[in-house]
Amino acid sequence: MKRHLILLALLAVLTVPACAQNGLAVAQLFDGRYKDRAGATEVLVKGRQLKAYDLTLFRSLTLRATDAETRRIEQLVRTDARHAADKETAVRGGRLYYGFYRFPPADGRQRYLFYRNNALAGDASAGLTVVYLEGSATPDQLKQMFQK
Amino acid sequence: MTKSSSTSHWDKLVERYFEALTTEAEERRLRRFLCSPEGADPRYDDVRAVMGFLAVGRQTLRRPARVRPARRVRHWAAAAALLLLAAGGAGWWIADRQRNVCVAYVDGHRVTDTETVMRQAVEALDAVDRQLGDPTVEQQLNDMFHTLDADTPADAQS
Repeated sequence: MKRHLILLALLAVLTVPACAQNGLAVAQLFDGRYKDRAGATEVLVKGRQLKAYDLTLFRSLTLRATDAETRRIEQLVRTDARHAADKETAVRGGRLYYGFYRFPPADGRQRYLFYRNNALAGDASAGLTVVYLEGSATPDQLKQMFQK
Repeated sequence: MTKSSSTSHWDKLVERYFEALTTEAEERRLRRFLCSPEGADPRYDDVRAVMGFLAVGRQTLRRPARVRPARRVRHWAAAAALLLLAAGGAGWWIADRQRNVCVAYVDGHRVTDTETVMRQAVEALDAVDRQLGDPTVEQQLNDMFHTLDADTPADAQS
């Protein structure tokens, strides 16, 4: 019995780091539902490849979404935006066009969420993109990353 | 018994020993004699050598053959060390696979080529990058206030 309790405690501790992203509403976008979808691109990078950028996790989803899907994804982003420590957004026609959000750190890691619906810029084929990042990179470092 | 008759007795016993006619008791008596000063005569060297060789052989046969415990412990220790090494290596490999992931799903196709995946990541970053010409929050607010000012009658502004 004692051994089972210790094992359960260990498992709980090990799963805490994995929950940093799962606490966000957008986490469900990366659960594999778009893996087989035509017109969708999902990227997952962890570890070694991101070290040079002071990041530990990179997740992105680019999708040519239907209007209903776009509204649902937008709602997920807006839900998470309520918990953001910093945000920068742009709206077009009442719809979320662009969002950059920084969340309170979890387990010592900074967390960022980017959203952009390029279809609102007049390019229906461009689709929307959601990017989630974790790591020690500061917002300034991310801006430099974008400018490269 | 005189010395010569005693010597003759032992010589006869040696002769009987080589003819395999001696009893166990006679052999014991002969062995004791050969270990004594009287039996130190060089003419008894042959029988002494044979009896010594046989005694060693007898002792070896009596002792049960068994694997030295130390060797068995070393075998188990080596096996345990190899098992731990293999388990450690496997565990490290699995942990490394879980820590370092680089994969993309493009149009339903799984891509693991690092260069291609990182290119997709850069494209995603480009897609969310706020481009020049996009209105900032400040610009949008300015637009809103200018719109309000334009709509408000001049005398209401003072």
